[in-house]
Formats: sequence, C-alpha cells, structure tokens
Amino acid sequence: MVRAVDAAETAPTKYAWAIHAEGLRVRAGRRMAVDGLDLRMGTGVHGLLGPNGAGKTTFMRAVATVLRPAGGRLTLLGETVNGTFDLRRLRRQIGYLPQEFGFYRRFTVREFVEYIAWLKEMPNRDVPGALQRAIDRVGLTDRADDRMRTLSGGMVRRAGIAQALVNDPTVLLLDEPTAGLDPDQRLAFRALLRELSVDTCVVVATHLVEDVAAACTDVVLVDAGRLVFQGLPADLAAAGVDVGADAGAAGADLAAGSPAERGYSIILRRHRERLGAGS
Amino acid sequence: MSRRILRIELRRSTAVWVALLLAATGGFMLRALNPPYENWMQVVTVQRDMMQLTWPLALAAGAWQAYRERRSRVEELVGTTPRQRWQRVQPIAAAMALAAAVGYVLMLAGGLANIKDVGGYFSPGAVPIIAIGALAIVGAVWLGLAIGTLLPSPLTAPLLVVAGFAGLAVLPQMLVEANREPGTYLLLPFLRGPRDGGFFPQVLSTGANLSQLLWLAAVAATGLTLFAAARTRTRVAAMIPAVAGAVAILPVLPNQVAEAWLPDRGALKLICTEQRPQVCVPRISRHELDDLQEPGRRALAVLAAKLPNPPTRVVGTLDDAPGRPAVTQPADTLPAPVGVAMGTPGSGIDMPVSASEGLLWALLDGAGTRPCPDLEGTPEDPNEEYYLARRAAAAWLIGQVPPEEQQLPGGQAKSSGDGTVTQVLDALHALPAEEQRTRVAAFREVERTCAAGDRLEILTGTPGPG
Repeated sequence: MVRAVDAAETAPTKYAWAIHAEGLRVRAGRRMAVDGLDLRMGTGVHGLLGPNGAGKTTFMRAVATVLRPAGGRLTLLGETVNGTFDLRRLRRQIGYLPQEFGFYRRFTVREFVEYIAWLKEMPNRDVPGALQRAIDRVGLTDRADDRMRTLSGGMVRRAGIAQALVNDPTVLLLDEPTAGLDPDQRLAFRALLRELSVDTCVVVATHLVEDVAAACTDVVLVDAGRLVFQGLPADLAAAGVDVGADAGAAGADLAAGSPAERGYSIILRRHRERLGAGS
Repeated sequence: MSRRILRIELRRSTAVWVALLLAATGGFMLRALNPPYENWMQVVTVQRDMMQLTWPLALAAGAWQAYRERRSRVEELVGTTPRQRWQRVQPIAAAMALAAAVGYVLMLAGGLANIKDVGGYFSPGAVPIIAIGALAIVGAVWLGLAIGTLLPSPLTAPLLVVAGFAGLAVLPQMLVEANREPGTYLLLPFLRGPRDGGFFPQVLSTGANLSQLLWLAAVAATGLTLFAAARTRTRVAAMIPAVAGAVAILPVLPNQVAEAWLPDRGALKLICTEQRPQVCVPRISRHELDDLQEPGRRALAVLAAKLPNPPTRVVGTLDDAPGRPAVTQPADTLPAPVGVAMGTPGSGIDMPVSASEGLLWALLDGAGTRPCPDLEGTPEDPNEEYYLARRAAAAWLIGQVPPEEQQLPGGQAKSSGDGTVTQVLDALHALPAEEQRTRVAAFREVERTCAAGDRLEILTGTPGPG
C-alpha cells in the first residue's frame, strides 16, 4: 500500500529515550506511590513488574499525563513534563489502556475506536484505515459492529488495546492488558507485542511474569515506587536458576514456579533484605 | 466538528430518546389534557405554557447525558487525549440540541390532532412563539449538560426535574396571582397565554418576542459555554452572557405580561359568504361559518318580520376581553357569538337543544345584540336579572319559552330569588300587540347603544324583582 508520509513522520528522532525518569516522584492520593524512580525506556517492549502497590499503575498514569509528577524529572519523547510543555503534541503520540478501562456501552467497537481516534486528533483521511487495522490486530474483526456491552471481558480488553493502538502511538501504555484473555488470545497478544516492538516504546504493566518473559525485550521490576531491577528476560530467568543458593524454608515455595517467576521472587526478596539490613 | 462523530452521537447517545420523550409527553398533554383548540395560536401558546414541565425534563435529560462520562468511567482515558474539551463536547451538544428542537416541534403533532380547524388561519405570530420555545428547550439541555458535568451523580437528573418543576410550575403561581404576572415573567422559559382575552386572538408584541429571544439565547450560550469549559475561570466567564442578557432586557420589559399581548389584526379580518344575506366570521373562526349560515339567516328573517329597522347581515364576533369599551353596535349588523367557550353566560350554547337551535337563541339574545359590559356583572356574580331580560326578548322574537324552561313542569321558577323568562314573557304578552313590538324595539335600541335604564322595566313596564 502506498501512502503519503508527512514531515513529522520522517523527522529524525532527537531523544535517546522515549521515557526517561530521574528521581521521579508521583503521588497517588496522599501516598507517594512512585518515590525516586530512575528509569530509561527506549523502543521495544518493556514488561513492568512489581507486587501490588509497587507504583506500576501510578507510573503508567504519570507517563499517560493523567498525573503530574510531584518531584524529580520525567522526560517523554525528549520533552520534560512540566508546566509549560506542549501536552497536546505529546498526547497525540500516546496510546493508553488504563487499568480500569471505561467505555460507552451503547457504541459499537468500531464506533468507540473511531471516537478515540477522533479524540487523538488523527487526520480524517487516516481514520478509516487505522480503525480497521487496529481492530484486525486485536482479532475483533468479526465483532467490530457489535455493541461494546455485548462483549465478553476478554473482548473488552482487546477493544481497549485496539483504541490504544489506533493512532500508531510512539509510546504505548498497556496496564494489565492480558486480564481476561484466554490462552490462545494471550499468544496472539504476545505476537502483536513483538510486532510493535520494532518501532514503538511499549510499556506493559502486569502481574503475569510469563507474559513478560515470553514477549518483552526488557524487564523492569519496581517495588515501593523504586526501581529494583532492569534487564533482559533472560537475566530474570537466570536469577531463578540457582535457587539452591537461596535454599531454606523461604525457598521451598519457589520450586513450583518457572525460572522467570522464581527469578522475580528472588530478586524482590534480595532487594527487600538489603533494604532491611540497610535501615 | 466531525460529522461522523455527530452521526455516532445521534445514534448512540440519549438524543433519540430525548426527542421521543419530549414529543410524547408534550404531544400527549397537548392532545389529551386540553379541550379542542380554536386555532393554531392557542396550540403554540399552550405548548409554551407547558414548558413548566417540558423545560425541567429537557434539563434533566441533558444532565443524565452528561453523567455518561462518569457512569462509563471514560474520564481517565479521555483525559489523556489531545482534543480539547470545547471541541470534544461539540458533537454531543449538537446532537442533544437537535434532538430537543426536533422533539419540541414534533410535540405539535399532538396539538394538530386536537385542533378544530387544522387548515384554518395560521397567524404569523405563532412562528416566533414556536421558534423561541425550541430555543428555550435547547438552552435547557445545554444547561442540563453543564450541570450534569459539574455534579456527576445519578441523582442529579431526577433532582433537576423536581427542582425545575417547583421553580417553574409551583413557585411563580404562588408568588403572583393569575393575570397579574409582572413583565419579568417573560424571562421564564414558559409563556403565559393571553389570559384576559379568553379566545380573543392575540399575538405577542415584537418587543416581547425579541426580549425573550435575546434572553433565552443568552441562557443557552451560558449553558453551552459552561458545558464546554475546562477551567474554573472559563466557567465563571460563562455567566457573562446570561448576566449581560438580563441587564440588557430588564429595562425594556413591560410592567405586566398581559401588556405584551396585542390583538391579532390578521386573525380578525372578516371572511363572508357570497350568498345574500351575508354571513361573515373573522378569519380565525372560518370553521364556524358553515354552521352559522342557517341559524344566522333565520335570525335575520325573524328580526325583519317582527321589528322595525332590522339588521341585514350576520357578523361573527369573538368573545373578547371583559371590560371591553361599551361601543354602540351598528344597527345593520347582527352580531353572532363565535369562538365562545362552552357554558359562558349568555352564550346560549349550554342548552339541551341542537347546535343550530342553540345558535338561534344566542343570536337573538337581547333582541340581536351583544351584552353591555357594564351590566353583565362579573363571572363570579353575573347580573341574572339583566340576562333574564335579554333572554325574554329572544323568547318573544322566537315565540317560544326558552328550551331550558320548557322542561320545567309548569314553567316554575328555577330559584326563589330570580324570576323566570316565562314570567317576563307573560308580562310582556299581557300588553297590546303594538306596544309589545314598540317595547322590544326600544329594548333593542338601548342594548345596542348600551344606554342606561332598567332593562326589565323597558321591556315590560314593570321593574324587575331585584
């Protein structure tokens, strides 16, 4: 297919990292949920792992421009998020699936995704094609003209991914995208992530370590609002291989998990022990 | 604004339901809760008066629609998109406005089904009444959208219905007695019809129409701005149109709403039969012309046979405002009551006889004259003796006891205080034939000119029992 390419698309990238957090602090209500986070994310798929309350969703919301940083520095696509920067230009390049994805129940899938495309200020001529592509990519082609309220939980999640994708975002933020997906759909989703990893900075916040190990190019583990670990999925799995070194009563429950899951737990425990020793 | 998004909103928002709700409730009330309408002006005025209910409904519909954002929990997602709020709200504001305006106009179908003469005179004065009503209802949904955005709760809409109804239907009536509405009531979305005039055709003055147009447009502008505003500062600025509108209009409002209503000259133009003797009715009562011809010509024949100097044509005369000036009625014209509410004293239509017979009695009431305003008494305390004399004159001309007394055994008095037409008629018949004729002719003359004098004494030579 041939299409016109405008200047903005061919302009050279002027930043090293799509997302760059330095000592980032973000409040969630009264609590400082992200508290001194240092993180760099470029093109690729970043799996954001962490226990409940680690600040994953708060970090995602800060990157999605829902929350303003309370301290530190957040640089998105080379621009620092503060009072004066051009929020609208940035938002045109973001795709976001919130943890709690709300939608208009009476709209069809196609109408809802089109509505979001309009909100993202896509040029009118690009909308029909982008719309169909986004719906196809999440496998909702045959349900495209059904009302949102008739969809199952997994389908709603996929419709949520479709609306996040529709504007071909540079930064794609998916908070718990695989919740409710059946195993087959999760495989399809991983394939989609690999496809996107070529030219997009995808951040996937999830509890499913397996998804991260299978589909991500980069693993980020956070706890209590700080970075614990950043590396390749293989590094995570490697940490879980020598469980023997961490033997004892604490290690017994680890035997059942996959190497990546074990690695996740071990890294987290070591981090907490270190903190405990330090204080 | 994107047309595609507007189309989606028209289909998927509550817009269609709002149009149906307004058309159905308003249409039902216009159709079922009112007697048949004499003319279009009455329909559109009643439609505006009903805004006491339809306006709060539209307000609540707007608030309910605005609550969709919170109900659907899309606020976070929408908040991360670049499109600015004032642009984002355009499709839904347009869809709701369209729905409200269409619903308002469709309401008229209910009136259409309940109008005596659908093809009758359509006063140009009805157009601004409809248009301004549609504007007011659009303002209501926009204001509702704004309130629903500021107070996103499932309770907002029902509370707005209650509050709106209390504020529009209950409070204004409590504060001011009917027919004494101050001019500031023109600022309310509903419109008080020409109450004093009964069915007398009136139009709202251009000044009053313009004031309402300006004010309601300002209210709509405030509602829309408030809905589209993303910041507190803009929300405060949204009040400017409404305040400016009120300041601009208050000085030019009349003292009383009633002053804003003027006679509808176009509606009063006479249309006449080509056949002689001529029978005429005002254009607005065209549908009564056919029924009037037969009894009208009979009445002319009776008058010509029994009295000197009889009238030569029948002219339908609208039941106009009480307190109208007492002007001399032309001798050559027999006034016929048209557009009369059933059961009005002296209308003669409240009798157990055919419409034609009833009309004949009405035409010859007072020997073919209209009652004098100074003698009628008030609707609460009508001058029974006066009506008795007028009725007796008709009975003498027709040569019968009036139908309502024919049914009384032996022509007994209806009540102790008043005499009966039969008694007056008997007193009249006791006189020589020529004097009877002279006395009825004299009675017709004083009634025609509304001169002073005891009517029963003029008719029979003896003063009334009262």
